[in-house]
Amino acid sequence: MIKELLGKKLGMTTVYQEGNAVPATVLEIGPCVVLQVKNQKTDGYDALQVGLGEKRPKSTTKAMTGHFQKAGVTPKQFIMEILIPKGTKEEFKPGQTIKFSEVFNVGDIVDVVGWTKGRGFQGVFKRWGMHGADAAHGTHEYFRHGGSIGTHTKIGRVLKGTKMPGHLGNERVTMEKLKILELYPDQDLVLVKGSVPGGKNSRLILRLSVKKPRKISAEKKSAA
Amino acid sequence: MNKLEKFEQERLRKDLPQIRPGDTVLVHQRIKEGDKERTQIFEGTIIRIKNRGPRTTITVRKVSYGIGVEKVFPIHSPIMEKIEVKQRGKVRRAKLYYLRELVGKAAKIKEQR
Repeated sequence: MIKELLGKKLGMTTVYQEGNAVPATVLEIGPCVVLQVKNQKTDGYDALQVGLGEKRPKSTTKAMTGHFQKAGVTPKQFIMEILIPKGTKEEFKPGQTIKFSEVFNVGDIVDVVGWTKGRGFQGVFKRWGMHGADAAHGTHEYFRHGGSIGTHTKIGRVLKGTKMPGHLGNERVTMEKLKILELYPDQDLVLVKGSVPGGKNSRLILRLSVKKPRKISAEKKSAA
Repeated sequence: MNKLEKFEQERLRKDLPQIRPGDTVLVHQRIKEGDKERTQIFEGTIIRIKNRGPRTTITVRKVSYGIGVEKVFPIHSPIMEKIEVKQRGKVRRAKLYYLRELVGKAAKIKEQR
């Protein structure tokens, strides 16, 4: 079975569970359209290429237009590949839609892959959480600096990976082990507990968690 | 209305009465103690309504044995059994923080008729 799907983030809300207010993110997942079925023979691996979201034909390249036509679908905004187990490729064909109800269930532990909000060129306060210099005791023109970045002649260079100002955000981030709280298959909505990367309407990949949730010890279980 | 707002709207409780700041209400709250459940009633004046969709809360104030007590209730939470309106208040403000400074008869809100 496939383990991941494309979607987008709608925003956060509060749900009430057993009297507790639980923070949740509402995701719109799928329905994804299969664009191409890759196979062992021609591509070296079995996978599905799926798309989500509409794109104007005008802004679609001719090469991609042909690719979409081949699958018999309208141009899609986001495209990704999903690996499938060997010998299951006959179950899928181009043009077919996949809904999340085939993949996810309530209570599943999932990972959410997203792209964080771009924050541009940022200083060391925001980017690395440094504390800067004293604001008093005669300090001038040196408040939000990061301090020393290395030694003098002994090394004679700045070490790689030194924390300095630079671009922040707009990177791929995976939030691991989030719990699915609720599912609404008719509206394509998934509610996961907690926050996920990215702004509203940003694309996401939702997949069954790669890591196993930590096991609750027998003691704790009996206490609960 | 976008899809998220619509989704939130649909999940709001529809069994709540019309309430306004200044109203005197009886708030019935379910309280769990171990595996037993009981209802606690808090009577007071609404001094604030914070409209935040499903996170909407009301702040209810009363004076108990000479001490001012305020409690914040998430009104869309299932722990809220019901809200009873005892009296409609006639007030000219949305947030009645000025009541905190007043005691006795000065803190009384006239009834809206």
